[in-house]
Amino acid sequence: MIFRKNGKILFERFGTRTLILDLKKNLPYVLNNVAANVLIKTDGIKDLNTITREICAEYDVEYSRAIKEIEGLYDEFRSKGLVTRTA
Amino acid sequence: MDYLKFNISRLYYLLDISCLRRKIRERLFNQFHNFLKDNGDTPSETIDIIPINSWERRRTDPLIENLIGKSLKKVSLKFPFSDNPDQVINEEIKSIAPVSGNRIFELTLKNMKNPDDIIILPVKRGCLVRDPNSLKSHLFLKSRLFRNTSYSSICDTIYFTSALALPSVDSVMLHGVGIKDRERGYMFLGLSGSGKSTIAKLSSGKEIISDDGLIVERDRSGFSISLAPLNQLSDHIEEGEANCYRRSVLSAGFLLVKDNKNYLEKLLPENVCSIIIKNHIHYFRYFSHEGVEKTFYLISDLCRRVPFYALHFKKDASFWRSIEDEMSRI
Repeated sequence: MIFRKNGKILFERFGTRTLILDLKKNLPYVLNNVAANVLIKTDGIKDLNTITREICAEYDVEYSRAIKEIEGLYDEFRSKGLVTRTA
Repeated sequence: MDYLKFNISRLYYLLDISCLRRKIRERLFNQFHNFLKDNGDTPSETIDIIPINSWERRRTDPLIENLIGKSLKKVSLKFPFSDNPDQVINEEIKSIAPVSGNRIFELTLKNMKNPDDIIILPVKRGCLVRDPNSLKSHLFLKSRLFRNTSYSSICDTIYFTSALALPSVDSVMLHGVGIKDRERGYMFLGLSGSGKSTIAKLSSGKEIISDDGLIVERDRSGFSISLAPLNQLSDHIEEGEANCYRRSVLSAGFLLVKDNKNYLEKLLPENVCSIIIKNHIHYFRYFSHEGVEKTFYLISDLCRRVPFYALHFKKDASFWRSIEDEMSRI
């Protein structure tokens, strides 16, 4: 599965959480840093497996657990109109 | 051309008043007498007022109609969303109709460097066209209505254009109350009905900087608050006494919660940022991408550097004790 961002998103880190702003709708959201990192890595080129492996390496989590959570994150991003699935 | 020259925060305005009646000019002079300035600076914003005679009206050029539709649609996609954006756009197009068929209006739109960037705001009996690239606005008004309606449309235009231009001078216009107490400035934010006016009324003996629109400015020493133009401080000062020198260093911000006891809850900066961006920035949906970016980082910095609290308050002046206690602690 490959996703791309639907438009430009601004990121600002505050400790363990990140404030993001969807420029297309001018809507802010507060995410945890892992979720924000997944969104940053979403570039329309890297697939879900690649992004999950990168997250596992950065946060020291098991792949099987991480992929489930990241799939859930993409469902949430899609419902907010932040990303679209391209493949 | 006859221009009214004035300052709003660090913006320098030229407002073309040559076509206005004497009474309207006088009202504007009274409104802005504390903001007036004529020092020959390069203007940050210029507003030309263009009278439209109804007999000039003809069918709108389809190209112009398309530009208007595109500009209004762009705004309708931004938060807060309308339940029926197409109906809203159609109503706005109808309200612009008295001027959209005008030749000068068409030429103005066609002459803009990048028509995709133009911002159109319907106002009473006319419309405002702003080109963010040239920082020039044109206010088209039906000329036979150059009476009170045009005064309020001119005021709306100044308010609107300054809200859009303030990010370029490291400032932002927020919907809120500003109060100065013993050299400390406080900002009170809340949605409509949350008690902003009540807070201002319950603060006698303190200096009310603004009871509705507030300009937050960043400089090297931190953040300050001052009066936004055209807010009347309804119960506190008369029209014409709006004073841009009412200003204070910002010490803390409060989000209002009506309650039956007074207490403060410290808020996380990222949550406050999100609330301010979503609810309290004037005309945010009309901002250019550049304006949105600057404002996003400005508000983030504000929320990091200035403490924010949820202020639960009773409907009397005793909430000031909670604020004073907290301020003496930090």
